[in-house]
Order: sequence, then C-alpha cells, then structure tokens
Amino acid sequence: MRLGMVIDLKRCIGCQACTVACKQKNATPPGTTWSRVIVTEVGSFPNAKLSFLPVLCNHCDDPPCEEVCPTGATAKQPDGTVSVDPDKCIGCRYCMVACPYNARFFNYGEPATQYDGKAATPFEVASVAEHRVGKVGKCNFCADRVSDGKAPKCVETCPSVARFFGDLDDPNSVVAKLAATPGAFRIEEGLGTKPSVWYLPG
Amino acid sequence: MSNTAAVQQVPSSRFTNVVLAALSVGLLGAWAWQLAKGMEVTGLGQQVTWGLYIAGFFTAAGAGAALLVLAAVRTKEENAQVSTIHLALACFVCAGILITLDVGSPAVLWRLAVAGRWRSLMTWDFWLLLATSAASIAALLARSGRRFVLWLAATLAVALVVVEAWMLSSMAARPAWGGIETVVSFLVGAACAGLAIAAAREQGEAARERLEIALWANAALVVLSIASKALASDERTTVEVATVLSGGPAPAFWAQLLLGLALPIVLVRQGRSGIAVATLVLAGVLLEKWWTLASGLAHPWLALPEGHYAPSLVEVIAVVGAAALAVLVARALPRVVPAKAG
Repeated sequence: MRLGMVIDLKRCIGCQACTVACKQKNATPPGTTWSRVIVTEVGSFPNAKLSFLPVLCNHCDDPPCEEVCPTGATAKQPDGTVSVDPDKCIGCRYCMVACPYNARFFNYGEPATQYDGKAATPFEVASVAEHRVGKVGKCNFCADRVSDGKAPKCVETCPSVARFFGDLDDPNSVVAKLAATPGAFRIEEGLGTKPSVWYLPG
Repeated sequence: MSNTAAVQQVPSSRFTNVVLAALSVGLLGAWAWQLAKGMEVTGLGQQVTWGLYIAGFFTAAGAGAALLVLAAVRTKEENAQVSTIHLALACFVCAGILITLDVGSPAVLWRLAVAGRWRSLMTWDFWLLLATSAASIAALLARSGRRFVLWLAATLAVALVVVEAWMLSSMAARPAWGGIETVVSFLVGAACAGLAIAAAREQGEAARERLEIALWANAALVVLSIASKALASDERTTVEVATVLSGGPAPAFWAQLLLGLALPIVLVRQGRSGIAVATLVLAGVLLEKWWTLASGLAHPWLALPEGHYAPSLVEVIAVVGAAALAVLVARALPRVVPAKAG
C-alpha cells in the first residue's frame, strides 16, 4: 500500500482553501503551513498570468528526511506515509535541511495565537500538545481522518476538486490511474526522492 | 622574564580572566534565556534552520582537529605537543557547547547518545566528537604510548571534519553544498583555524609560514569556488552565487574575504601572528561557514516567504561566551595537566 495524492493543476484556482483547511484542522502555529499554495506570476504584461502550485509533504518513497534522522523519529510507515514521532524527535532540524520541498516546520517556541492581541482560542489551547516546542512537524496526510476512512482535510475542502487521494499501489484506484496519465509529474523527480504526490499539468 | 615583567603581567592576566569569565557568564545567561523561551530567541526560521551555532560548531571542531594533527606531528617537541593538545581540547569544549546550544539542551544529546542511528551522519558526528575528545584527554594523560593515542585522536578528528562536510555535501536538496569541494573547504578552513591558534601561541616564523600557506589555500578555494559557480549556466547556481555576492549572506562573504583572509595574510607577512590575527582568522572561518549555510538554505526547491537569516543577540552572546569559555579552559588546562607531566 502506498497512500498518495494527485493534484490537477488545471483545476486549481489558487483560492488557498486547502491552506486554511489544513491550518484549521491541525491548528498549526503562525508561520507554519503544512499545506500551502505557491503563487507565481508567469509571463509579462499583457500576457501575464498567475500560476498555482499546491504543495505539502510529498511522503517520498525514498525520503531524505528519514535517511538523515539520527533517532528514527522520522519513519516510513507501512501505508507509505512519512511520519514524525515527537517523542523521538530531538529537534536537530537535520531533516529540514535535507528536505528538498521545505515541507517540515520546527516549533521554535510556545505556539502563539493566530489572533494578535487576543488570548488563544480553546481550540488553539487544546492543540498546543500537538505542536510541542523543540519538535519538528509536518503534513501527515491527516492520518487520523484516513484511519476513519475519510480523505485528508485539504482534499475534502478543495472547492474545485483538484485533489485526489488514495492508494497508488492499487491499479484500480483513481489516484493510480491519474498518476499514470501522460504528462503526470512529480516535483524534482531528478533528486531521486520518489514523491507520492503527483501533479497533472496545468 | 624579569621580575618587573612578571609583576606587570599578573594584573593583565587577571583582568583578561575576569573579562573571559564575564563573557562566559553571558553564555550562561543566553543559554538560560533560550531554555526558558525556546529556540525562538534565535534568528533561525522555517527556511534557514541552521545558523551561527552550527557555524561556530564547525569552526571550533575544525580548529581542534587541526591542532590535534599538529600535535601528532610534533614528535620531538613534547612541551609544544602537550600545549597544542590543551588548545585542541579547549576547541572541542567550545564545539560541544555550541552543538548542545543548537539542539537545545544536554538532555537532547543524551537521547542522541542512547537512540542514535548509525544510518545518520549526525550520529557519526556526535560520536566522533566524543571519541576525539576522549582520545585527546587520553593522549594528554598517557605516560607511555602517547604517540599512538595522539595519532588515533588526530585520525578521529580529521574524520570528524570530513563527516561534518559530508553532512552538507551529501544533500541532494542543497546543490550549493554538493561535491568534494565542501569537504576540501572544511579541511582547509580547519587548517586555517587551528594553525592561527597555534601561531598565536608560538609566535614563530615556521608557525607563521604554515598559517600563511593555509590562508592562501583558503582564499584560492573561496575565490575559485565562487568564480566557477558564477560561470555556470544553470539558473539555480546563478541565483545561489548572486545570494553569496549580494544577498543576505553577502556581508559575511565580503567580511571573510577582507577581514578573515586578506588582512591576516598581510599581517602574517609583516611578521605578526598574535591573538588579533588568530581572532581575525577564526572569525573568517566562522563567517565562511555562516555564508555557506545561509546561502545553501536560502533557495530551496520550494521556497517559503521568509528566507533571510541574521543571528539574534542571544546567539551572538552565546557564541562569544562559548569562545571565551574555551579560552579560559585553554588557560586552565596547563595548570591541571602541565606540559612537562607527560
């Protein structure tokens, strides 16, 4: 089994709903975006346009973050996802240096509230334990939701149905079929990381 | 030394020790503040995750390694040999403090000690630093077989520097650090740092000549490295070179060239090799590690909005304090294990 995602760039409208949904679901601290959309301007006036690239942890098949982790905190799971065990993480940030995709985030201090000048919300208070100081965190494909048979929050939220989630090893799954379509690509495949997040060209 | 000179030197030495102790207290204060507030007191962010602490660690470990090699080849100068081991140990103390600061606390290093995976180069780095330090102490205390133990320590120390360089150069995510060039750069940088400290202690012509050769080699390496990358045609390398020359880490790069390489070369050629020259050279090596780390981390494949790094005051106080503590250790060690004890 290898859980993976396919993102259809033709469908992505750059609304950042996935970014917000991820932050809402995981209560990530300010400045931490496990899922985000990179917006770039392509071309020049009068033929300029915005290009959108949703990114998250690629849950690589050959993850450089797992290779460098000195304590085994970062591990490849049987379902193909790459997880971080905060109890084992020593906060050396070697994995962040090794990750080519900037998908990892370090909790430098106590998580601050998203709302300047106001006290943390009950949800933020309840989520503090998930973002422990001195530990690295990242997208886990919403492991809790997936174990309940649901799709990750970003997939469920996407208003233009640009994201697909499933087992890449199952040839009958939607993601496997989409990943096999001509033109499907992964980010920086030349690095040899074998990401589990595929893209369909825009 | 005349009696008058001896009398004059005592207050000066005491004053120096007081200043060094005060700076060391600054280290403790910065560390306590960091323990209380977390790593957010540093200037590090989500994109540049290694900064001044790691740069200082690489510099101190490299200096210690070079000093150990120097001690190992001094088979006929026992006093100088022991004195050089003292200096090397002080450097390793500094390196140990800085790496502990970077990961937060000694408890974290304990976890690395008991749960480290050999697949990770960081585990090798950690154990090599410990093994090198232990072998250095053994060499210092050895009454027989010092030569063998010292060569073992020197070999471990060189391996330590190579592993540290390899930690960077083996990362596919950071092409700016790629290749054997980083390993050579770390070895030459280590030689500069160690030989500068040794030259400050000895004040001899031979020591100055060795230092000058290392400085010229480092200068050539830095200039050729940047020039070869500037001539590269791919866009990514061009951006990285532009970052080094005119981006956020540029002040560190130019300061290294002018103050950490050119000025010391001029001073050494004028016959000077005192503490001021050693400080300049060490600062130059530190700056090189800094701009290397910062420029390599500034342009990932998928950038975050914030990519600039500037060390915080806490980091600066801690690194200066760690260096001061190392000097205190270097001054205290000859009293604990005198040069003639071996």
